[in-house]
Amino acid sequence: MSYHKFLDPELIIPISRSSTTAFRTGSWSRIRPVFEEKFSPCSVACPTANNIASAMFKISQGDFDGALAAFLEESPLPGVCGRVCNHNCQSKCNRNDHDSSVRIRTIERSASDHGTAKPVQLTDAGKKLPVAVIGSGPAGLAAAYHLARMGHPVSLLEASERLGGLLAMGIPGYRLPKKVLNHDIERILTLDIKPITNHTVDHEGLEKLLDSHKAVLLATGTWAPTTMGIPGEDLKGIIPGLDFLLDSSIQAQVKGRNVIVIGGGNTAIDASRVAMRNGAATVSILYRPDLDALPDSDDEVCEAEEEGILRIPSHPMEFIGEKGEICSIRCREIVQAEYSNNCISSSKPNIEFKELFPCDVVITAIGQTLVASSLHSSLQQEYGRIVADRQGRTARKGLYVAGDAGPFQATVVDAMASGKRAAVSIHLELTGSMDETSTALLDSGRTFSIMDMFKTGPKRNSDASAKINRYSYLTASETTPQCSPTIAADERVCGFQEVVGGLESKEATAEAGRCFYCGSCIGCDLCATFCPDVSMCQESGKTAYEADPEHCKGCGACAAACVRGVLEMGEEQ
Amino acid sequence: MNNNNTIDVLDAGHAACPGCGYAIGMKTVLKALGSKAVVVVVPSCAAIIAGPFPNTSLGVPSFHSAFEIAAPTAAGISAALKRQGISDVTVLAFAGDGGTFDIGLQALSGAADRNEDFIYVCLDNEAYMNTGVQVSSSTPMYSWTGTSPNGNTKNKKQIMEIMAAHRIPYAATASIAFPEDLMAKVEKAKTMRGTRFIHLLAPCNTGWKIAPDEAPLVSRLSVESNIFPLYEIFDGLRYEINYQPKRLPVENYLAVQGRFSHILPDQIKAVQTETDRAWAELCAREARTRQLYGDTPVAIDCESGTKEI
Ligand SMILES: Cc1cc2nc3c(=O)[nH]c(=O)nc-3n(C[C@H](O)[C@H](O)[C@H](O)COP(=O)(O)OP(=O)(O)OC[C@H]3O[C@@H](n4cnc5c(N)ncnc54)[C@H](O)[C@@H]3O)c2cc1C
Ligand SMILES: Cc1ncc(C[n+]2csc(CCOP(=O)(O)OP(=O)(O)O)c2C)c(N)n1
Ligand code: SF4
Ligand SMILES: [Mg+2]
Repeated sequence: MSYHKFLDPELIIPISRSSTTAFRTGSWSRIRPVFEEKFSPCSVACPTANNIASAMFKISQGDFDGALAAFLEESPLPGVCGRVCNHNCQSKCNRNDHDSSVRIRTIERSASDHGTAKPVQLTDAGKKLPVAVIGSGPAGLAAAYHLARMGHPVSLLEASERLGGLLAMGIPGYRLPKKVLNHDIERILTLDIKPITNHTVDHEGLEKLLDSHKAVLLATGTWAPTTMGIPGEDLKGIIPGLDFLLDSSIQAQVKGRNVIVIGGGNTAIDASRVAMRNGAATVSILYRPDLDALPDSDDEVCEAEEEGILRIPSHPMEFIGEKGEICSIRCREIVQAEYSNNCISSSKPNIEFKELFPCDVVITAIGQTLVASSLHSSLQQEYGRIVADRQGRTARKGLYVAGDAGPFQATVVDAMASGKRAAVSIHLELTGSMDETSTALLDSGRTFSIMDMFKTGPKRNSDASAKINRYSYLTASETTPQCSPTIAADERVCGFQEVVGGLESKEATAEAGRCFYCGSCIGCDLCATFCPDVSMCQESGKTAYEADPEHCKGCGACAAACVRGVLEMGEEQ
Repeated sequence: MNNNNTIDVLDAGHAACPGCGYAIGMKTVLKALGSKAVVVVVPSCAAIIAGPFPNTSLGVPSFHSAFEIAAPTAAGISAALKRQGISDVTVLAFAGDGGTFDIGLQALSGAADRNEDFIYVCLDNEAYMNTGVQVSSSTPMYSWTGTSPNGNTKNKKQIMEIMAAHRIPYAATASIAFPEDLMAKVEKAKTMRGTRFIHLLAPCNTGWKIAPDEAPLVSRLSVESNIFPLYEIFDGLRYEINYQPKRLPVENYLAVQGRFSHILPDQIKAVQTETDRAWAELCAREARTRQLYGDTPVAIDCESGTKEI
């Protein structure tokens, strides 16, 4: 045996020269990971379907412009919503089960405070199809914005000298500074929208608009007070809440007086806080837990209580006057059963029940209804609202309704969502492109996404929000949310400066970093990292991950490790 | 953390069970090791994963050796490479817990004593899995195996302490649930010379009686519950804890595994007590050795393999 031969190792040991990829281990299973991006639960809970996960991820990367652009896809008023929205989204945040929800509303505000972005045109198909929008509250503004993005020339008619509806005239500046509202409105007006202010539309005007435009959307809100229907309501010193908020000369009258506000919702809380800021001697809110709306979020109630406003559950039965002026309210005690629908924590009584509440001024804020004008009276009404379907279509062809004037929830974001829905309905109708899929999307749920209508490819099913798993929680550390700076109560009641400040960009980045980005792939690569079979990969340039069907054994490690619920296991197609 | 640009050095099509924690561990180690390497495997699931002749899943030259001699085989290859003047190739040995804690311990001890130049990765699945789940000295107390049907009656052997006693330059624990930490440890080990030991907990879905998708979850729990803390020992002396766990109750870890399904409340309590004790001791060692030796690594003379403290 020659020495040379001896050196060839292959003569004494076998050497493997082929790869195991030759073995088709994919045949072991028919279960495969399915990559499907989903709505996050917060986004499903947001009536205007903000793409929260995408915005969160962008901010976590310091990209405020990108985040603002993400909000602008669905909503024209991120500066407004970032401050006054009732943030349904946060109640559905998956982080609630872990530590505490991501402060989504605060982040929306940060995107608007620190970012710049322009509205994006979706199509110009509406170019020759002008639409008139009556009323420039959140419903009218959102409708005009989305109609213009779909190419329609829009005339925006507003009775007041200012645009914004209740945002401009109802919600006080300590919660929503005018500067912020105007910034959002200026952005909307970069689109093809012609605002016509100081223009009240009456019945005749409506007929003319219906002639000159292909469609008309009514977004006139509800500006008439609801009456209590108890004796003494016409006494002097009893003021409807909205009248009080609209008129600073009325507000000045509460100085040094004892004020009682009746009602539980936003108007009641704001009226009481405005009264406090106008130097009222005392301010109490009487609310009927079984009847009055409550603000959807605790924050405002807490802030009002910090400012020295008492909240007392009771039922006013009669206004008692002296020489035609209000001097006290007679009430009856609330029975236990009436507390049942009253679920927010701080609503527990903080003063003992009395039968007689003496007072100098009463502000009633138990709800608003349609103004009895020629415009509204020509239309069919029910429960103080104009009758319409989910898409805002009234009985009359070409006439739509959105916001508080229609049968929709009376919040800023719901007004915006109904305006958007009506805008899309108008667009599809006028361009003759209404079909089954769009009808289904328009008619489903409280949430409505316009991007889903305009995206090509598979549409996300808005009912299926991303589920996250125990691995998501296990790998997440417990964190405390960033605190927004807040002015001390005794200082803030002296004026109308904004009570709650925004986050610094660094803090916003940290807060957004708490998000799981449920339902959105951020390319974290954990699925590929944990695939024992080296079968998971992301095609270059694409977001989707796909398992190699020849080798994936269907173990599900990738899906279990997908902390955002994008990957789930399913039968091979 | 998108690692798409780095090549995978493990091929698909290998014969590991679905969801195998071992394969995840090998894949992660090989990724950090890179292509300038020679790998030794010995009978264990690693040998199965490496592939049957004439196919292999390993993208680097590899050598199948005998059960008990992963360490001396790696030492021999490393010496042979040096003899040929090749100094930029890392030699790494994979062995199971049986091959490390039990049958290979003497050979490993000899190589470590001489501070031979290789990285040794013990893929610890806490039993002889490849041959059908028999108890090893790495099997934890109370765990079911085929040969401890009523639960293991001994505590897990402390291999890290044994390795530290050899005063080797580097020893570290690692988990497949912390891939970045694991890769960083392999990369750190690559920059050193002498015997470097990585104790990698790698669940066996079959033997631990967990679902095929649960290996990362259970590994994570082992760390978060302090059952398997992540730490390093430099020169066998200086301890450094790498991750502050959530300190979840051990029950969270035990309850998800079928191999502990028979465990009694008192036994869970005992595991908790022992885990708390071990963690307290580890923390104390870290504090004490930091005080004694500071943060600076103790100097090692690479060529001769001798240590100067
Ligand atoms: C004090 C107060 C505080 C509130 N706070 C909050 C809050 O914090 N969060 C929240 O989500 N919601 C809040 N709301 C509710 C929210 O403001 C409303 O639901 C929302 O503004 C309704 O929007 P809209 O567009 O339908 O109508 P509006 O905002 O009422 O706007 C209607 C517009 O139409 C104009 N208009 C009316 N008639 C005509 C006509 N004939 N011709 C031309 N223009 C006309 C009006 O001048 C007005 O500008 C609050 C409401 C009030 C009163
Ligand atoms: C000297 C010797 N004894 C026994 C065996 C049989 N054998 C092959 S693998 C194995 C079990 C290995 O257990 P471990 O090292 O823990 O690795 P695992 O299979 O768990 O990966 C045994 C006993 C052998 N190959 N050689
Ligand atoms: S609009 Fe409201 S519900 Fe939607 S994301 Fe913003 S704060 Fe949340
Ligand atoms: Mg083993």
